[in-house]
Amino acid sequence: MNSQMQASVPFYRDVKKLALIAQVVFLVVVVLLIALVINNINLGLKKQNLNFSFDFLNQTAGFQVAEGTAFGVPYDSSSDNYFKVVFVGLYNTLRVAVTGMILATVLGVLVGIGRLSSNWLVGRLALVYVEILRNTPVLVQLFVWYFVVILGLPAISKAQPILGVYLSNSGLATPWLVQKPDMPNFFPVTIIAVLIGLAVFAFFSNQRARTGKPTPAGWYAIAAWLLVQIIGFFALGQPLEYGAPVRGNFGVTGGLQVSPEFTALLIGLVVYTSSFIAEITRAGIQSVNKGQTEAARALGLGYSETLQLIILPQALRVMIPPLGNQYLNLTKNSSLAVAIGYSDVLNVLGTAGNQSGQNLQTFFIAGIVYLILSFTIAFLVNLYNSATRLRTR
Amino acid sequence: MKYKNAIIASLAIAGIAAGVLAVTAQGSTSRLDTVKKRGKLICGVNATLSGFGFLDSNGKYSGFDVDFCRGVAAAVFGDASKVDFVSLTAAARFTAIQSGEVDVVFRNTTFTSSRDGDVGVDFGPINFYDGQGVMVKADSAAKRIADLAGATICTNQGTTTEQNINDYFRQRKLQIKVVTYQDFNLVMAAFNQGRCDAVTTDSSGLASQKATSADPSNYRILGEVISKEPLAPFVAQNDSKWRDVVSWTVYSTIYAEELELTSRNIDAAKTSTDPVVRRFLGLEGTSGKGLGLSADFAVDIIKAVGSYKEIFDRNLGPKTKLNLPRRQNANYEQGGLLYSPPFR
Ligand SMILES: N[C@@H](CCC(=O)N[C@@H](CS)C(=O)NCC(=O)O)C(=O)O
Repeated sequence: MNSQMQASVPFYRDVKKLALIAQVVFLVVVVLLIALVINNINLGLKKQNLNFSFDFLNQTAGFQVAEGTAFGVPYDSSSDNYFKVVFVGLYNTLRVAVTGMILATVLGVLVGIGRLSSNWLVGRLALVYVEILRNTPVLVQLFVWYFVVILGLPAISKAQPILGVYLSNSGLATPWLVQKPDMPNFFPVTIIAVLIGLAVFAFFSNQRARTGKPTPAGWYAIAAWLLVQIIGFFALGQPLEYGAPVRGNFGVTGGLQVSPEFTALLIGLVVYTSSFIAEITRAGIQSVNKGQTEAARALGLGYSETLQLIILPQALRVMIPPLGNQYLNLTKNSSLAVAIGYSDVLNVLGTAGNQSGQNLQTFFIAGIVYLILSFTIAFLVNLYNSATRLRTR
Repeated sequence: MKYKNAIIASLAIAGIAAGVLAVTAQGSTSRLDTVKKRGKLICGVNATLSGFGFLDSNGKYSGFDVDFCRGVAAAVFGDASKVDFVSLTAAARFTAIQSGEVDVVFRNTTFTSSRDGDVGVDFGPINFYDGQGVMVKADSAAKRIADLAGATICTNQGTTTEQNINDYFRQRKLQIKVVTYQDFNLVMAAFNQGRCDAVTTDSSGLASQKATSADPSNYRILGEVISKEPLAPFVAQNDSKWRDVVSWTVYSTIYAEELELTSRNIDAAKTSTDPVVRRFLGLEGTSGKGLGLSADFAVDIIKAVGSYKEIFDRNLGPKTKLNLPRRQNANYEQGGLLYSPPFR
């Protein structure tokens, strides 16, 4: 017996075995818990006589959505179904999120550079900007932007057009090339044009990195984008026409209309997120070895060239993962839209759930939608991250 | 000691699992038993609609719907103060019942077939007959609702009003734009800032918003009513025992008015020889017991909150800012729609 004891350590003394057992127990408990939750949901649904079906998505929605054109296709409350309405909401969320990410990045990087400026005033201003915005709730900021700033503009009845552009508390209305009702949808062309423009930009920037010869990648990209738009315009039989806003009994109609809700949400999200991006930028720049700046200066590069060509590209590598987080935050914060009346996907789903009585399903859809959005953003950021990663030879 | 954390985590999760199990196992008792065991009613109300449900700066709730909550507490406990209020937005009220967060909701909620059928709640008796109206600024050019073609109309999310207003203009082949906010305070803020040409909700709600605004003469409620909005309390589905308690609380107040009983004369009425009155007061018959309440539950209700007339007058009547007419909300004997089944 004595010799046995020495030969094999009992399992409750064996750290490795214990760890394994703990993990197995943990796994079993988690699986059990998930099963319980599902079971609980089922029981609850049964108790309330609810069935978890998505058939309602085929029914006519019958309510208005303030910003009801999705991917260039207008929404008609008298015939379109709930599925379409969710799509409209999704489009509105994407619209504010994508625009927001781009603008927040630009603004945030500028403020971040300002934070490190050797100019005392610029540095202080940037600091105050960052600290105020970072330390107040985004919902409060949205209320200020919407109710105080945007709705504080003159009423549309009193607004004077400047070059045909109306800026009032009903939003911005401007002359524009607008879709003709019975013609093919031009929206996909715009998207394709942007994608091609981006591809061209990537290609020529890359070429510069390889050959060292400066190429105006930005101009090439814009030219490509414009070219695709023009080709698309004629290929589709000229589906756009000039439209200018005209004053009616209530507000203006026609042209391009940007609603005050969209504007306030966009500004609010951009400004809020930019304060975080500014800090990320600052940290990124500070992470680049000071020797890099000194070397660049010694080679005769000016301040902005040093920043653009030497510092920022290196800082970017550090910045990308936290930037991705900010993009996720911005997208999720856009769900505060209902507070200021913007028809984002959560707002629209809330109404849909209430109208159809299928609240549980609409919450479920909302969860899935945000999950997909988040995964997509994370995926794209990771993709970019691995593409720009430092390659060791 | 790495594994120690894992074991602690497993235990914690097992504990949660056991908790979930316990909740699941609770199963099929009536909400009435839950309420009695808790010793308190939890009632969902509006906190921002003066006259119906309003939370004042002292943290006290008041209003028409709030008084009905107190009535239910009086019926169950003989004590109208045994109630906690939970303030609910329009969009959150149904999930609050489905999840069991509150026992009953009295929150100017329209009784509709889809809410009864799809949402999974059961309604009690209608305690206020209403209809949807439209309010504009006093200086608006609109005289009738149809004049608002092309206008921006604002309302709050999660209500019947979004569909009603769309139906109204759709049927007349007129265009409008509807902007929807989270709650009605935001709607009014946007309206006051000039974002909306009109706001729409239940007429009673409009009257309340107008009456309690800084300057009521700024607003004009258009004459037409575009929908039926019968407002009723609701409870979780498939619990008729609990729904009965809520229903007979509402009926008690209506019946009291029919019998001309009030909070002041109800004690004296105990000497009445009228068998109808005696049955209502629980002096004869067994109706209270059958409902799972005390024999004289109606006395407790009326003593605490009064008859329907008293509740109406106290919160919405001529002596209040709202000054609403009784109209359909008069008793059937006065040409209104209120009618209680007999207590027998
Ligand atoms: N009766 C309608 C509308 C109820 C409703 O939400 N009314 C508004 C205006 S009367 C309200 O309660 N507002 C207060 C708030 O949103 O806080 C329904 O049940 O859907």
